[in-house]
Amino acid sequence: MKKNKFDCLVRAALLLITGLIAVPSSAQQEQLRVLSPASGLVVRPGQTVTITVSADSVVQKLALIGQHPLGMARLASDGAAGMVAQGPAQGHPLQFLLTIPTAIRPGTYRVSAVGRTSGGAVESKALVLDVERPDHPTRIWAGPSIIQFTHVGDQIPLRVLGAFADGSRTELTRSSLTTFSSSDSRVASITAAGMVTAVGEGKTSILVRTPSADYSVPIRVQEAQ
Amino acid sequence: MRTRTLLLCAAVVSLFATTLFAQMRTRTLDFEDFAGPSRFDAAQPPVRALSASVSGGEVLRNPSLAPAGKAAVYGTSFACSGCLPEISIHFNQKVSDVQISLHSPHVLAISYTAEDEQGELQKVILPEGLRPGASALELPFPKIRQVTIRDNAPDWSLTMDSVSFATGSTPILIDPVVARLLNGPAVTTNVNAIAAATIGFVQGAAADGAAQVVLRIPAANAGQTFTVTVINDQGQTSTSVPNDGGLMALGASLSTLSSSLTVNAVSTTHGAEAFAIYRGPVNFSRGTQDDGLTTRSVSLSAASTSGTTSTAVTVARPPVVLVHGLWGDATSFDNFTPLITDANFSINYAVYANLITGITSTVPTFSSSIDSTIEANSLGFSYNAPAVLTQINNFISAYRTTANVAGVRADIVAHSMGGDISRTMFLLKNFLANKTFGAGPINKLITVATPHLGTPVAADMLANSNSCVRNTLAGYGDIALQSVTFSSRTVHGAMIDLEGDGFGGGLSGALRNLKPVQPFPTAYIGGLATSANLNGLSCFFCNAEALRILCAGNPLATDLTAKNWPTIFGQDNDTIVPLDSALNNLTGLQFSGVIHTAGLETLDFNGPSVLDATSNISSEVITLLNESPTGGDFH
Repeated sequence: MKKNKFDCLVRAALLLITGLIAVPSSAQQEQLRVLSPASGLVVRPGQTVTITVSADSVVQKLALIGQHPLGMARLASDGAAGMVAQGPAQGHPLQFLLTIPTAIRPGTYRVSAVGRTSGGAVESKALVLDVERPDHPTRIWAGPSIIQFTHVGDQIPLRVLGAFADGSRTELTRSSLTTFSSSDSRVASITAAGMVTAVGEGKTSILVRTPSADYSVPIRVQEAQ
Repeated sequence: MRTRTLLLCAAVVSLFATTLFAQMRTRTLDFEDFAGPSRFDAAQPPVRALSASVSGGEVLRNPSLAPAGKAAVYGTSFACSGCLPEISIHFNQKVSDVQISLHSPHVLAISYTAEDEQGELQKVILPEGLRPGASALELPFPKIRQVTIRDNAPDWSLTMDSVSFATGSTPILIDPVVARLLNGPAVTTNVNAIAAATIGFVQGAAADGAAQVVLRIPAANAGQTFTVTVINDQGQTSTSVPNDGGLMALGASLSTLSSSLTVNAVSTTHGAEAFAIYRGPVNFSRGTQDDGLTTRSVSLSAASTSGTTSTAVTVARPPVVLVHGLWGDATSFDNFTPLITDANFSINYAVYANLITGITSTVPTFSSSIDSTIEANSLGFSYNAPAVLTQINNFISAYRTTANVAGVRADIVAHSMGGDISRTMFLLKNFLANKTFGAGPINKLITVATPHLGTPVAADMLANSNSCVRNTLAGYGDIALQSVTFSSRTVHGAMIDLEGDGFGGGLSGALRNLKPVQPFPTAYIGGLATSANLNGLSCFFCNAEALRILCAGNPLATDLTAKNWPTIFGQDNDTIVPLDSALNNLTGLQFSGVIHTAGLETLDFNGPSVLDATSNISSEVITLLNESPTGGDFH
């Protein structure tokens, strides 16, 4: 038992130390910079985005990584091939090409440059891309279609789906064009991400809006018997 | 069925309604509990409530269309895709004194179907219809089974606020959970409370082996004896409680369930009534004849010296809840066809992918930029189990409303860590809640590629030597955590909970807690990757190569080759979870040529994943959902 406890402590200490060494600090973040585009850029599924990165000379290798399903970007500058730039020279920005998958769900995605130096990992500040379809849904709906809380404080996430004129359907919960509001915040509140929280007993509804369609979900909060 | 035109004006006849049916109990169906848009878009499935089913249009939630204090109406319009120019209301028992609040800019054609004295159905057409504007349609006739309201204008538009009707002396079914008729984990024996119930009227019960329904039988006097019998869908007295459900008296134990029960009416504050409890079948499918059905039926007959009445009981499948795994969300199941598109099942998604805010530290540490993207799906079993349990309970509750049946349990289909979280729920103090009759909300659990005995990849991901791989994968959104501190609390990360060698050794504390627990019937599905699934790792200018270059020297990066990756496990695996772990060292179903998750394709593993349609696992899950919890594939 004592040995296990000791092992645990040693392990935690090692992880902490290693973590401190391995994790990019803000100073290290400045060794890698995404120069363009600006964060918040709205892009379309299927679009290829050119992203320019600069790195200090201490950076030995670097790659540009996007959240699933974006994955790694391809190098585009100076005729370099592949996804990892090795020995990037200071003052020579690198261009990456990132193609947005056509089947991606709308929402914001984080893209950052990660690199290695002799001192460990470095990482740029994140570039946030807002992926949105060019068309709007003909109808939307949300699940659960009814929420019946039995305890104040409980939370349930709403999931919003949309149907489009081309026959496709996709999740719209994380789209920046989807908004949520509660008809009575004394009964239930909702976050911008669609998390509903029971606030007090009663009935209300959550209204989900997109530019072209809306949907309302009835909420009941009734403490369990 | 014969059709005739009624020569009396409905409005005139309605003058007699109140006196004719004063003895009857009136119920009112409104649409406040149903979701919908604010304006017409597309037809919805029928709305089921009380003993009625309303179809042809959709629920609109728009206070400007509803009466004061209400927010929802039911309507149809030419502007609604798939909607019909008429609204139909079907009653699953004979009703009387139907009153409907309607609004339309056009004259409405009204017809209804009622039983005559010989029990034959007759369709009756009201010749004058209903005038434009807001109108109250009143049908003060007995034995009505269906009402149809039609707008014949090319630009039809029609909304309905509410439907009220009287049920007379027919026995009715009450969901004791909704009607708050529980005393601890059992139905109350307080007959006055049951007699006074005005909510919770249902059409049947889910075949979840636990749902109970109270049968309330109006009687002529206290002491009147009723023999209540379960009649199967062949019209015969049931011989199988597991297949057709069973009856017991108020206050009796489940061991007394039988196909027939004699009860005596008692005096209540609402008159003489007799009571019985019907518990639904153990499993929906009795064999292949039921596999393609959404519902089936039995009936409950109550025979006394004054005659026999019968109440139809809908037997419904329990709802299905899909629980995703590590770093996943509802979209993890986007390709899990045919199950997710099978209209026979009510599919729900439990999601624990909300952003964690207020993080002050993590182990291992990441940049603040990564910290700001940590979601609940990176955290451990005990953090997520309560959230998933809350959602499952809500899905069951919502199912009771939309299917209009009593139900207390769901079938759970869990991918990867979702299976561990589902098993962790049993450890929560509110799992065996009274509202589930003490049975818990899980009817059966089907795990797909769940690391019941952990995976060696988890320890590798937390190892110091793999910090580059860990940081790089965090860029993808795959954040491997031992612990997270936020809002003044420290919780386990998912990765430490998933530690285990896959054979049964080196289990994390969270998995050790689960090891002796087998609280509900569980079926195990495991995947086996083949060389075809690994060949993609031998790529150039690809994500796998990039990781090998970027993180050269990290063991996991070195092992990210077709040759080395299997050596991590020392047994068959789906590239993340060892087979013994997926099967919990028990017998289970194995699928070859699959990988753990579609997310691995970003790292150049080749699919299909266990959740892709082409894996055929979804079809197998449907088979298991039809199989009895006592079947051979369940432990």
